[in-house]
Amino acid sequence: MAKLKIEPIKEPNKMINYWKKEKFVVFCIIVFGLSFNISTVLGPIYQGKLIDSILNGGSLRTTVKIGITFVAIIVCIQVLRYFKRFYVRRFANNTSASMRLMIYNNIMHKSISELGSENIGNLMTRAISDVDLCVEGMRKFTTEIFDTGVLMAAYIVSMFIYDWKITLFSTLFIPVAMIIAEKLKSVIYKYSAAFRKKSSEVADITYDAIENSMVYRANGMESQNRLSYNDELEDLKDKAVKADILESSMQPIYNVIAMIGIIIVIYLGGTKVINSGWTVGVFSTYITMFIATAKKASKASKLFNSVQKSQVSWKRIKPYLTEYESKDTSCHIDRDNTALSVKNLGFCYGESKENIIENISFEGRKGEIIGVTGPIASGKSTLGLSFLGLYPYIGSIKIDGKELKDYSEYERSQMISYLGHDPQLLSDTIYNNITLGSGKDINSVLKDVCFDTDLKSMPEGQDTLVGNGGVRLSGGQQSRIALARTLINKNKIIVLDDPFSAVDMKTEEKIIKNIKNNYKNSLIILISHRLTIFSEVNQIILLHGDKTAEYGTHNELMKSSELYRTIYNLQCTNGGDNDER
Amino acid sequence: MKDSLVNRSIVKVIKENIKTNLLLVFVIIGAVLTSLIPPQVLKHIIDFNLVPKNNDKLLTSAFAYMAAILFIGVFDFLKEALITILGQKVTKEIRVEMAEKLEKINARFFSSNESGVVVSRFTNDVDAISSMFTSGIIGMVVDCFKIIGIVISIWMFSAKLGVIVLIILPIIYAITRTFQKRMLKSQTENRILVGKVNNHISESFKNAQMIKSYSKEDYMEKKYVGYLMENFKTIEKVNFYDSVFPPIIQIIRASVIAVIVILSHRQLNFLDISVGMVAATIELISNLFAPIESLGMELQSIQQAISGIQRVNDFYNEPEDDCKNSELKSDNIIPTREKIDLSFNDISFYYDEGTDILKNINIKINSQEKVTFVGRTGVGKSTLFRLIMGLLKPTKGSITINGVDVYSIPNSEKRKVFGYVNQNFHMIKGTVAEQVSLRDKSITREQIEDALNFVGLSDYVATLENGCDTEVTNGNIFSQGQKQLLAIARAIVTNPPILLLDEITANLDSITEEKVVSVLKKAGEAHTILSISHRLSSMINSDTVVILEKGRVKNMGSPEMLLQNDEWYRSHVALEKLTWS
Repeated sequence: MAKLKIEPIKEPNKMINYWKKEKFVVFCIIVFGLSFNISTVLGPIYQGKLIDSILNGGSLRTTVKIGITFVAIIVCIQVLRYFKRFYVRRFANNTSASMRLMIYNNIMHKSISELGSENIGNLMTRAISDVDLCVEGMRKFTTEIFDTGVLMAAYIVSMFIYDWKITLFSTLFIPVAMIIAEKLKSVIYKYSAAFRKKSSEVADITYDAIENSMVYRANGMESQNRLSYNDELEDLKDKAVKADILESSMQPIYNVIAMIGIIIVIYLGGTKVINSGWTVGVFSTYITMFIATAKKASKASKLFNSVQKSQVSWKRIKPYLTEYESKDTSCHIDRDNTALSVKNLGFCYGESKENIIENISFEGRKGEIIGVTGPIASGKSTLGLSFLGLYPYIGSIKIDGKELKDYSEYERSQMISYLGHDPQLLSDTIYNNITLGSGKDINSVLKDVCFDTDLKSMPEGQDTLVGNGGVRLSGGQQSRIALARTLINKNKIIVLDDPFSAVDMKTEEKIIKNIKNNYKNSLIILISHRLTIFSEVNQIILLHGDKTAEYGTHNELMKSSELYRTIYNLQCTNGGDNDER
Repeated sequence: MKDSLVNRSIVKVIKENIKTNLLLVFVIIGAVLTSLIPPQVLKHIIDFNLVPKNNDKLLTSAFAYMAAILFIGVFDFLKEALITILGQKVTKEIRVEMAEKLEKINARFFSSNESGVVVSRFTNDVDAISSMFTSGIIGMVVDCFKIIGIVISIWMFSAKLGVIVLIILPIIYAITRTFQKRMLKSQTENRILVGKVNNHISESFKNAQMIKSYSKEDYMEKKYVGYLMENFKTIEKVNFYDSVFPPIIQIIRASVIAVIVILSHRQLNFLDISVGMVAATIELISNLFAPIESLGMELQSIQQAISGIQRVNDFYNEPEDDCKNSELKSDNIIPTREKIDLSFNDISFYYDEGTDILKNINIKINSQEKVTFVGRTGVGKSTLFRLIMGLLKPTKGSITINGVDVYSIPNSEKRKVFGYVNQNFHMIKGTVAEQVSLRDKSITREQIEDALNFVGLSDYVATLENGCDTEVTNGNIFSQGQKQLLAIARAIVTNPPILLLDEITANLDSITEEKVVSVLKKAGEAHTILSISHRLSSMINSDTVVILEKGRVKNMGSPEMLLQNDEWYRSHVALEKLTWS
């Protein structure tokens, strides 16, 4: 067996390249495909000889000898067939793996705004399932070139050698059957398209009825809806019946047409045996070949269908098959010092949309904590997100004197780490979720986020699986794991957007203290609506809903900002009441 | 499984289509019998014409052979077509029954089951069941008959040969099943891995921001390739079985043929059959393998469908709502709008015993009173509304309107009693007018236009391409605020005396909020309004505010009174006014 590997492919948007890439496999398919299909004709020939051997009254030994030869030949042919089948499947497997890899690579290198803009997740999952259909079509096509094309040719040639006249007349109907099948293809396509359309319509209606069930129920609409749903189901049933009958029940009819020539075969062939031109064995060989050819011909329509389906799928996945990309990982950043300077920063999602924040200016350096707060929808999170550099911004964000957008994506990821509301955990172990493959030790960072005690109750320790999206952990545990991931690289700038909403007050205080003590080389931007922790930070940015902002330390804002003071006091009296989530 | 939905549907379809069934039975018998004829004709030709070299009636035999082929074709076609029709009828019937169930199912079902999952019960599971019925059960019957027919035909040639066939039959079946089982095992393994691959893709989407911000595209791709590789290896296993199985069957077939021919050699004279019989036996034996193979596949498809049947039957056994009192009419319950007495009589509610959502609630609400419920998220406010509308049944106590238990009001009358608006407008499939009427045929065009006019959407709707009849294909033609106004139009179109508003301004900005509130103020003149919200309490001048805490009424009274004597309410209102979360 050849070594298994999955590698990128060049010019993945050309189908022919998938055959070119698998040179060895394709070579094997050709060799075994040709040898198997050509030698297949030996089966019926020896079967005929077997019959002849008992008819001619030869000795038992001869018959046994022919019998053994027959079995031996079949074994050889079938071994060839095994290799052919195996390599065709290997080809399909390789191709599907390369396509999947290429599509994945394409997705992962799309910009974040492209990924977020439409419901691309669904589109992509569909594209992935299209890979299966497409490869299935490619496999069938490859198989049928040999198993239909070569085999039919081999049979017809042999039959011509036996008797060209009988063959000429009897096989006339075979192309007729194939032509009818080909012509009916468009009709079948029409009906099956109508069925598929209706089927997805009914699925939509079903979804609507279930998704909005409470709306319909509260308004007493369910019984009226059900009646019309029944009509839709009836219509769907009719369409399904038509499409199915045309697509799958027609094959026996094609077979009948292709078989018409059997009359000629039996009559002329039989006469030839009677006139001692053929033996009974040859007669039986010939009939076997003829029936096999007719059967292949009647199944040709299936081949047409599968190729057509595969083309449709190919068209859908083609846009995602682009050249393989990988990130440039050269890095020129100053790891020792950090100076952040934000001037007149503005930010909006998409060109036509309104600015969420405007004219934000502040400065900071390593070892500082900058607090950001404000009412709902004042742009706190947006401000944090703008440091990621994944979305375009207005104004200037300079790190060590260089504009953020002028750094490469890789450099940015090495300077800034960001934690949003969503912990974004992978269904993997705690260790892998924090290190993401960097291989670092996580003991100290786990202590920083106060996870060491949690870990003691987990028998698997750092190798505990967190479940899909982290479901096996509590909300507070999830956000602390995500926080550990954000902290582990001790990046120059660490942006934390409300990381403690699911963490109790006491742990929150402890974590803040740890961060203050252990991350003196980082600049920390802490976004929160809970002002109690802000007495500890170096400076505070208070965003207002009207896109203005106030700056200052806790004490300064307590004096100068009425809003800040009011909220602070309210939150103090309201106690823990605010941790709703 | 006795009185399951699936069984009932299948039995019902069978009973309702007696003629089709009889025809199917006839066609199946015809297909089995005719498929035995060609070998017999062949035997006759060889023994009667070819061996004695006699061309008497050779042409007739040739035509007879063709006639048999024609009948086989026709019977096969009819068989496939009839099975398709019956299968589709079963599919439809199951769906109809499921839709009926959906109408009666308890409202809790929808909160604990995702729509997508329920839809797949209607689509994927039902499809699997119907294909089990057609290609599984019916196919199995057909194949059994075929095998029996072939065995009998061979037995008629020679009893000894019949015994030989009976001996090899279970051997072939055992080999086939062994392979199929192994293949199924690898396929199941493979499916789990495919699940992993797909999960990785969707996870990559969900966490795209995190992956990009840490530049971990490479890491994710490596993991992806790892999963692909595992998947790749199991596919290779499937490929191996898939490639090796048909060759083995062919080798067995050749060996059996060789043995039979040798045994029928005159010198041994063990079987004592003619050459024609040998040729016919060869053909019959060849035909024996196909039904055995499909028998295994059919068994498998039945096994696989069993989980689908289980799921559909589980759905069918979900608890239902109690019967409604169909004699109750809205006009009798509420003769005049001025006289409404809505009372909560010591109600309690829980989903799971021991964890009460609501406990001992006692409230009385009078005509045209405006009541606002406040409390933390998860305190059971929305549940309370569902109880008021009679969508859920209180575990203890009752809610009555003028003495009538709301739970007994039939769904079809509810729209004339309650208008319900919640924070998310559920867009349904259909036109703008249908968004308001929900396709209720008893609602006139005038009512729809009045409702749109009342909420101030008439002018906007008039600017749409087809006005009221514009098809709403996606939600984008309405802004968030307009959707909320549309939701109000939907609620008031039947002019119900009681309005239930669930956080309806939660997703709106302050300008749209004002618009919605002004419409509600207008509506307030003639309606009893119950709302859930913090901010609305002051905006629509509630008469009464009910504060819920831990499932109980913590405090209740006029807003002025609560502001004075409830500290929590006071600071809550203050924070809300500042839009601080």
